[in-house]
Amino acid sequence: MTKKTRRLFLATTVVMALATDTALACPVCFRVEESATTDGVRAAVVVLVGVTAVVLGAFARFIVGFAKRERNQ
Amino acid sequence: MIPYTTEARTDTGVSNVTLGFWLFIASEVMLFGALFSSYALLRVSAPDWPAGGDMLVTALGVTNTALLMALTAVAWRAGRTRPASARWLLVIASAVALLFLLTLGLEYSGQWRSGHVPATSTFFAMYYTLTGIHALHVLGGIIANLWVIAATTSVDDALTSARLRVMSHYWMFVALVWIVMFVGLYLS
Repeated sequence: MTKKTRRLFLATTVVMALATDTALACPVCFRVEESATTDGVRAAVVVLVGVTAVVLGAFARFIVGFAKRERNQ
Repeated sequence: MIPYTTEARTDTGVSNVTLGFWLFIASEVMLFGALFSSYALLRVSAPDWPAGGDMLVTALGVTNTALLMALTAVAWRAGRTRPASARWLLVIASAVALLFLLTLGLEYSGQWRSGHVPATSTFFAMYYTLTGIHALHVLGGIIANLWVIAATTSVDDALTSARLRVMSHYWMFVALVWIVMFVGLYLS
């Protein structure tokens, strides 16, 4: 991690910590009563995160194999 | 001439045909992932959601599932057969895919006549969107099959075999997506 990236990461963390309410104030999931819409959004997020995790996992596996092959050559 | 169409590259460990195909499948998984996510959102947040069996003709759905299973088996066999024999297997696979589209068309026309159009309800909007996009993939598969069949005389056997293997994987993906749709729309 370069010095610039580290600073950016630190600044983002500080801003997130200081502005927690704003950062988490999703009008659908928070600050409203539990409703069918909230459940729907949760289900949608779970499906999409699941699919994305599988695809990214496959890419990660390919990249790791790539690195191993490079080391063995 | 594109290099490494049949032999594996030393850096990636796979041929360009294989790598390109898996990148394509990754993008397709994301497309259907977004659609299934929308389906989950609309279904769970809906105050009332009809049972698929009451709204759709399950027998036609079962027929289409069986057709896609048969199609995948034929395409799988084609991917592991000599190119000369595989041509006919791909012709059979394309015919079965066409039969799938005809069955879906039959179901669409029945629903349309009953007044069940996409604007009828969220259920039917999702039904037509999901099955319609899937049907486009079946159509795309038929076109790709025909392209592979037509090119068997102009390219060498190694390249044809690579294409046949890719097509067998493509049809397996299309069948897998259909099974998820079938369970989500017809059986639940």
